[in-house]
Amino acid sequence: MAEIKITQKRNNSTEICISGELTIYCAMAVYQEYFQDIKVKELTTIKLNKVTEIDTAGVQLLIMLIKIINAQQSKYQIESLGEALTDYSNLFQLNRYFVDFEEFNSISPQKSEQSQ
Amino acid sequence: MKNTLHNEIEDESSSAAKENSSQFLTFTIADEHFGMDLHQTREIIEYAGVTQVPLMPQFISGVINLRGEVVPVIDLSVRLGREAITIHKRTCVIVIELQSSEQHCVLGLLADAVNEVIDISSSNIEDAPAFGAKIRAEFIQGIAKKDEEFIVLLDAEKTLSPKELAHLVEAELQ
Amino acid sequence: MSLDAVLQTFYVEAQEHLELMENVLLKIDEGECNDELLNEIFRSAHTIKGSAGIFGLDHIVNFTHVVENVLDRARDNEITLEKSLVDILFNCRDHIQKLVSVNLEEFNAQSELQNIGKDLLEALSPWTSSDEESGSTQNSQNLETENKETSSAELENENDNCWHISLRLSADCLKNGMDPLSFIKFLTSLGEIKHIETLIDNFPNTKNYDAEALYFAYEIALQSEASLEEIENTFMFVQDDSNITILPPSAKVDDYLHLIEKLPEENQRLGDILVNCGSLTKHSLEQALASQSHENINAEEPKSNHKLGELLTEQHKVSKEVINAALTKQQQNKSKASEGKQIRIDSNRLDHLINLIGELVINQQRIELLSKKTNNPVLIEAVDDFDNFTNQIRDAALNLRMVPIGGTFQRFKRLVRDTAQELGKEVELTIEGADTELDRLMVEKLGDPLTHIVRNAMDHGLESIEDRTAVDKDIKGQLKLSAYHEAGHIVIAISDDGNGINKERVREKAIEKGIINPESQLSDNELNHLIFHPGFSTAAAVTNLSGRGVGMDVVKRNVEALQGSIDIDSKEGIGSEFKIRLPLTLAIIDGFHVEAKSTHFIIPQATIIECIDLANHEDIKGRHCINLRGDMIPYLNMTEIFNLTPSLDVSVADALAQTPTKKELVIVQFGNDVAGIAVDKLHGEIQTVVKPLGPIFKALKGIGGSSLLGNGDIAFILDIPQLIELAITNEANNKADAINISPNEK
Repeated sequence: MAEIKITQKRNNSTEICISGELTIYCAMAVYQEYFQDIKVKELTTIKLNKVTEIDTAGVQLLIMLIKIINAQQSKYQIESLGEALTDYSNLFQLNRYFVDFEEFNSISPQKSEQSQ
Repeated sequence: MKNTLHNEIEDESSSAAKENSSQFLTFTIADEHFGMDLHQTREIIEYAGVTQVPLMPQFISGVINLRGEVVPVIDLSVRLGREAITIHKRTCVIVIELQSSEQHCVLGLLADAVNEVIDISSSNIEDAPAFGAKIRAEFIQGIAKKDEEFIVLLDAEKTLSPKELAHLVEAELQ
Repeated sequence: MSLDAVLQTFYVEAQEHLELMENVLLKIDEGECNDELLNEIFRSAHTIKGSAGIFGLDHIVNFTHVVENVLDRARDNEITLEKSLVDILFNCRDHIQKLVSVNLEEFNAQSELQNIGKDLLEALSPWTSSDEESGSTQNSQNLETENKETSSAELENENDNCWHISLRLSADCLKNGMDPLSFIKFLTSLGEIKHIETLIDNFPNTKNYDAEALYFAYEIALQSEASLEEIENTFMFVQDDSNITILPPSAKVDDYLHLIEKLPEENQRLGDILVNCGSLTKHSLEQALASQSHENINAEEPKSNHKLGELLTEQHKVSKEVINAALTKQQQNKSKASEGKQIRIDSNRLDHLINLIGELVINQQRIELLSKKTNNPVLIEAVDDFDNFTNQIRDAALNLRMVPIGGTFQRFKRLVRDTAQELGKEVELTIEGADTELDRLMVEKLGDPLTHIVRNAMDHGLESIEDRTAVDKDIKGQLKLSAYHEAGHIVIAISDDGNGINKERVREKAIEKGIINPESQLSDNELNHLIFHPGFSTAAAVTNLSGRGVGMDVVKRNVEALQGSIDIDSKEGIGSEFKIRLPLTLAIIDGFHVEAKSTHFIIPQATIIECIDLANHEDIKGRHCINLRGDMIPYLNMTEIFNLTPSLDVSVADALAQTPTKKELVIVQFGNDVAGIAVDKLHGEIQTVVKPLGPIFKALKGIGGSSLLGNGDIAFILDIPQLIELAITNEANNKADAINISPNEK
């Protein structure tokens, strides 16, 4: 079961820290409890280094989270991906969504692709 | 099918959900009152004769055709160490289902009359007396009192365990 | 399909492939070795590895991969399958079987299993090609193709083996335990994923988002040498409502355009994605899209998007036809392979069907009974037709449950091979009548008894090589398994050309164990049957195969549980034969309805020879024995054997009417025994469903079950062999003889 910690910081940013197993077994609960009605500030930092296991449901959840963040006109940055997500991201070539902030400044996914 | 008349027993556990009380089906054999956990009983049918099985001990009255299922009928009276039940017009068969033993087992029990379904709270159930009931103590789950009459609550799992019955049959055949 | 159901399919298939591998190995072991066999075993290993990969069963994949590698090399004639390697491969196969039976967690917890695996891989190492080697070649290959691709980016589909896979998996995929992760991982084992595009277009708004549904869609460019079938197989466990398109490397632009058209996402975007994947070039896409807009203007139809694919397909008509032809060919090949394939049905469903048909048969009999009472010829005729069809349905349904015994026999090849090696004996196994069909239930329950008998025959029956040479026998012992029909029964015979049963030793042993008295006189047959007595074993040295003194009595009990019987024929120095006789099916029998003292009985039709009027035959010397055309036939009286008294329900008048003891005699045969059964009334043939009497009546001998008659009455099905046994026991008890063997001891 994943643990989610959401901190609203003073510098007009929000920090979301996810740790543990982010899989289908908890995806529903995590989404409804934390992400569905989340309010983020101008900048959102997602910390993923403590994610020990992730599956497709988990990755979808992150993408959904990014979409929600985007919809609130917030920029997001990911701080340290963690091994599990790095593996997944490499396999599925998802690096454009999951970029380590250390290496790259905040990048939002190609908006043109998402707006329909 | 000859056993067309049968009255399904409604499970009313929801309506009478008193704490620590369970429901018992009470019935009479030779003026003695007995009770059996309602959850173990399936239906009550009119007695319409049985097919005797050769060489069986007296407590096995025979088998009946219950809607395509061949069900053994037990003379509970004999099983409890009494005289064989006397068949009359109102004799009925209580069909019970035992689940907890290795396999599910359906049996019919002969009774003179089926009385009612009653709630008995556990505080009103006394332990079986060690003697005096003229029934082996392990068959009795407890004794309850209602309207100045004693009701012997039977432990069906023990009294009618298929394993035990099979042993008795085996002994009879030797 | 839930994950459990899919996994179940995997286990069943893995089991089949393991059996196939075993059979091939046995053939190779016997010296038969050709390309076809090697291909077959390689494919089996490959399929097991592949399916295991889809489920992420890495322990199976890792081990099987090496085995597959060795088999692949053998297939390419790089190595030969010498005896020592075949032995290891046998063990590897067994190991895979063990691996299949545990899940990954269990595997990780079992260090013993891991060690066995390591040892086997170690043993295989002389035959494996080093992994680095193959890895490096693959790498260089990849580099090569990459170079090629960059240099020839303008030329579409230059890359010969780049497949395009478009996945729109069922939304329920994840809920059912299928993660696309496992497919993608598996694809990487087939080749290299050049590009994968994860589409997130299908994501709903925050309100409708279901965290357990799959929204991702995938476009994949896979560079692989694999065949279409292999790639398709990756997705064989996926739900039906998934949309999967696999375009071969040879696919033309219009195939891609067709794909674009078919998919729900916007065309332009999809086009871009395909270009990204390297599957389409920018140039061809522009061309195609240009003709789209052109067409749009011409047709002045705002929704002409949907026609795009068709139009473009028109333009490329020739190539399309070529591809169609190619695809049809592929499909033909596939359907050819699937001919003779079978449908898998849950056996419970089949049992349910058979139960229902049983009820149908009973009801049909009731209707027949009623129709005869009406004396209406038209109705009776119609019911007759109905009867005919009911019987056909019954037979067809029962047939569904019949399986050939061959599969069971086949398994003994391995057992015989291993046992022979262990015992240092040479044994040749012959199989006859592998096509003979048996009820599946029986086949399952026959495995154990057969194993005991076969082991016993090899251990005690067949002599050692020295002993065989001494008596001038071929050093190779003969063991034969055969199956055939005989008088409504199926006989399974296990025979050997070994030493036979040493009757003196059996006798001594039986006396020593207190099974018989030293004075008792026993016929050869009776002596032979002593080996079925619990706790009897004559083996001088107790081996780990048999000789523990359990076995033959269990065999007998198992066979009896199937309403069968077992017989031995043994000649000292020449050999023994065990014959197991079984009824054709357990669910429905053809019977003969008789009555004694108002109790109804059914005699299995297959056992009946004839019916005679007992009044015309006189008992011989006051015994229950008659002279039938010169043969002495003992008979038993149902009333006596079952101690029948007229049922309570029968009125006195009825009872009186039956008093004249005019008896009918049904002559039955079972095995070598012929006997008569005396009853009051014959009612005629009847088809009937066997209803087991339940555990309470287990000890009741002579009655095998019950059955419902057309009018709802209950009849008892007679168990003829038991009845004969019962009669013998009664006879034996009457004779105050010294023999104290009673077949009823249990």
